[in-house]
Parts: sequence; C-alpha cells; structure tokens
Amino acid sequence: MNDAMSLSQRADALEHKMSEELDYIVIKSRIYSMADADFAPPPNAGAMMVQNPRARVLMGDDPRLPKMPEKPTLMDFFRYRFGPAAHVLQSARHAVKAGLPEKMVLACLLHDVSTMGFIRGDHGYWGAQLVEPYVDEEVTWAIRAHQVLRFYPDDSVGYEYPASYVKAFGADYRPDPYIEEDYKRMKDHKWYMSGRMITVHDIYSFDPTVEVELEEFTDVIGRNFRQPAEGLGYDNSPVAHMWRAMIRPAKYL
Amino acid sequence: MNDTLTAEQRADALEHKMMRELEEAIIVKSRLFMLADADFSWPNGNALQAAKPDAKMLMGDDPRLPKMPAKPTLVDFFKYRFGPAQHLLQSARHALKDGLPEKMVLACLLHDIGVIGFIRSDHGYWGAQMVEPYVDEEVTWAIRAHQALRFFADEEAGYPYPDQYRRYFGADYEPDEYIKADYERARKHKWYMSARMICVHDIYSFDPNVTAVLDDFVDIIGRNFRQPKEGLGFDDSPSAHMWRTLNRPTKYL
Repeated sequence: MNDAMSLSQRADALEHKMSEELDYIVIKSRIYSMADADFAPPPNAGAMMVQNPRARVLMGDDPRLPKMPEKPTLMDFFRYRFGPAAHVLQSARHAVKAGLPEKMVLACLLHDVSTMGFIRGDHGYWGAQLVEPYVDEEVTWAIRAHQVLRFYPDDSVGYEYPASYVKAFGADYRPDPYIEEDYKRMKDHKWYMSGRMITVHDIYSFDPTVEVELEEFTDVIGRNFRQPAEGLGYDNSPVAHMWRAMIRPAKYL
Repeated sequence: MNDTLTAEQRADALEHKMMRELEEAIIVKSRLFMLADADFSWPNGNALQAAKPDAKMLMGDDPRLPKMPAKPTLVDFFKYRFGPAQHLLQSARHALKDGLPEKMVLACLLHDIGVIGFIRSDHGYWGAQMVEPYVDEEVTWAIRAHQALRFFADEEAGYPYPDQYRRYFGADYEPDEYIKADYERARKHKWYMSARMICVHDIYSFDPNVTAVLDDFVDIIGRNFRQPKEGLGFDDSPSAHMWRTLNRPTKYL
C-alpha cells in the first residue's frame, strides 16, 4: 500500500530514481502512450544508446519503483504496487459484518484489484482474469459480474443505481451494449446474488472515522487465496505475466 | 459531414468537436500506466470533477484517439491503434518467402502484437493471450514461446543469439529464471520448431528497400484469424476486454 510508505522511504526511492536515471532507458508501452493520446512511434532505443553509451534498456527491476520481494504475495502487491485500498478494505469489512461467507469477503476485498493496481476500464473483467487461477470459481465470476451489475438496481436487496454514477457519468449515461448483454446473461445465473453482493457492499461513501487495515484480512486471504509458492508472477499460471507487468511495468520486452 | 465543406474546414470542425468533447471529459490514467512513469499519485475523481463541474468521467470513446468502427476487425486495430508494423510485415513476408505454412505466416505477423499495441514487457505472453480465441492453438503457443526462445540460440535452426540484444541488454545479460524455465519446457514441446521459426523470421535488420503492406496479408488473416462478427472486443470472448482496452485505453471504469 502506497500510503504505507513512510516519507523517508519515498525520499529514498526518489533519490535512487534520480541517481539511476542515466543508466537505463525506459521505452513506454503502446497502451501507456495511447492513454496520453501520444501516437508517435516509440523512441528508438538504439539511437538513445548512441547518445548515452553506458545506458541499457530496462530489462530488470525498475529502480524508480519500490523493490518487490523475490516471491511476492498478494499482500506485497497491496503494499508496493496498489494505490489506496481504503475502499476495498471498507467493502470487505462491511461484508464481514453482514455475515457473508469468507470467500465473498475475499471477493469484496479484491473486486477493484484492477482499478487499484492495473487498468481501470472494464476493471471487473481484468480483475477476474488476474485472480482466476487463485480463487474459487464463484469469486472470479462475481468479480467479473460486479462490473455489469453495478449499473442496474435490484430492489430485492436494496441496491439502487449509485448517485455517484449520476454525478460522475451524467444522468443520461447508458451502459455500453456489451454491458447490457452481459447483464442479461448474468441476471439468471446461479451465482447472480454473489455478483450482486459485491455491489451491495461496494460502498461509495466512506466513513472517514473508520480505519481498516489489510492485516484484518490476512487469515481470510490465507484461507481463500491460493498464494503460489513461487510468488505471484512466477508460477507459470495463465496470468503470471499480468502480475509481472505490475512488478516491472516498464520492462523493455 | 457536409461534402461542400473544404478539407480544411472539415479538419477545423473536427478539431472543434474534439476540443468540446475534451472539455466535457475527465481523463484519469490507470495505475499501471502511471507506475510506468514511476508516478505513485492517486487521482481523485471527486476533486477532478469539482475543478471541472460540467465535465464527466470518460466512459465512452476517447476524443483524442482515432475513431474505431463499431465492429472493429484485426485490420482496424492495425490501422487505428497499433504502432508501426513494418517489423511484423517484414517478418511475415520473410516467412511467406521461406514457404512456411499460412498459419505460421500469421504467427509471424502477430508475434509482436503485444509490443505494437499493448504492453512491451513479456509481450509474447500478452500477445498470445490476446489472440488465443481467434487463432489455431499452435499459433498461440508459438507466439507465447517466442518470448523465451529468442534468448536462446539454436544455430542448427539458423537462430544465433541476436547481436542487438548484446547491445541493448549488455553482454552479461541473463534472462530471468521464469524465462529459463519456460525455455526448458518449450524446447521439448512438439511445437518447439514453430516458435523457433518465429525467432528465425524475427528479422532485426530491415531492408529499407522493401516496404511490406498489410494488404499483402489480408487473405491470410481472413483464412486464419477468426474475426468475430460482433467486432474484436464485443464478442464476449475471454480476451474481449483486452481489445476493448486498446479501443478505449482511458475508460474510467
């Protein structure tokens, strides 16, 4: 968690970043440049190396980022890569208080894992893909489904269309057709209510007086997230490279 | 748009429209993209909206990017999203001249799709994941494996360790352990030589006299890439959201 980095850790990281800057060349990935609407061809690494012969393209750890352990756990990603987690921690605590089964508490804890650490657009689909090898199938399904269900009210459980969405997207916003299609598929699914429960506990107004620590969920994670022995990213799972991209987002190839 | 407008007028009108759309949209970058810039700040949607009260969080097309068709094809992604494709086109042409089977020509054409369109790091794994629902299993396997095999020479097959890698990564560069492990697995695989062929045709020195064009491969794509009729990204495949992210890299959620 980034908020967990002390000021001096941050200062150290910055200093390190500056001292190393001349030794390596960072070439941004296409998707990062496109998010800046930068359509220029990538800079030519060979030409940059002519300017700075001792530099190499970045193939190892990024000296600008906090060091990750060799065999990183889910907790390590929370600590060293993800953005603020207060929202998912509050969601998970809410789910505990409401007596949801442990795996659904985990689903609430991880439902926005992609927003926190990876890609925002379609974050439910991305998040489900990221955790799929490590959690119960129902958890994956529910994380994917929350992406869709959040746009549709369900009076039977008191879920209203979020007022924050009206503000953020406009009163006339309509979900994309692929979301509509997925909603039709999902509303009759046997796990519908699990996806729905994520939206119910996806609380948008934070109580600033409540501080929830990740450690509160260490046991839930331990029992419900199959942490690979080799570390997330190094277990040859179908999504290992996705975790590695978070470890080294600017690796050259 | 009115045909009687001059090209210049049309361009102006378009620019105004885009500026208006931009004023109305708030663009928030994904965590991964910011990590690649070593930017650990966390954009606050509420604060951004408070500063721009008439604007909404971007949930539709990014007005700064070329418009994509409603049902985009692979060729549309080459046209409107990918970076320069000359390397891939020359690779594919090389494979064609060498008499490789059509599906391997496609594999050569797509092997760096992760680099030209998405995430550079571990691009073979990314590229394979993106195309998996649409190509022969052997093509997926070969694209994934080329990532590991490229670091290991196979002189007999005509693949020496690339000089360029020595220059870019340093003479002392050692591939990561996960790459070595994947190499060990791949070299005993029945499709080893397919992936190796991608490396052999992964030509690093371009002939400036040769310009290959995508049109040369339209038929091969047509016969070997199962273009979904709903459009890439809208076909509910396991990688649909990945193509949607290329389509809209800055969608808010």
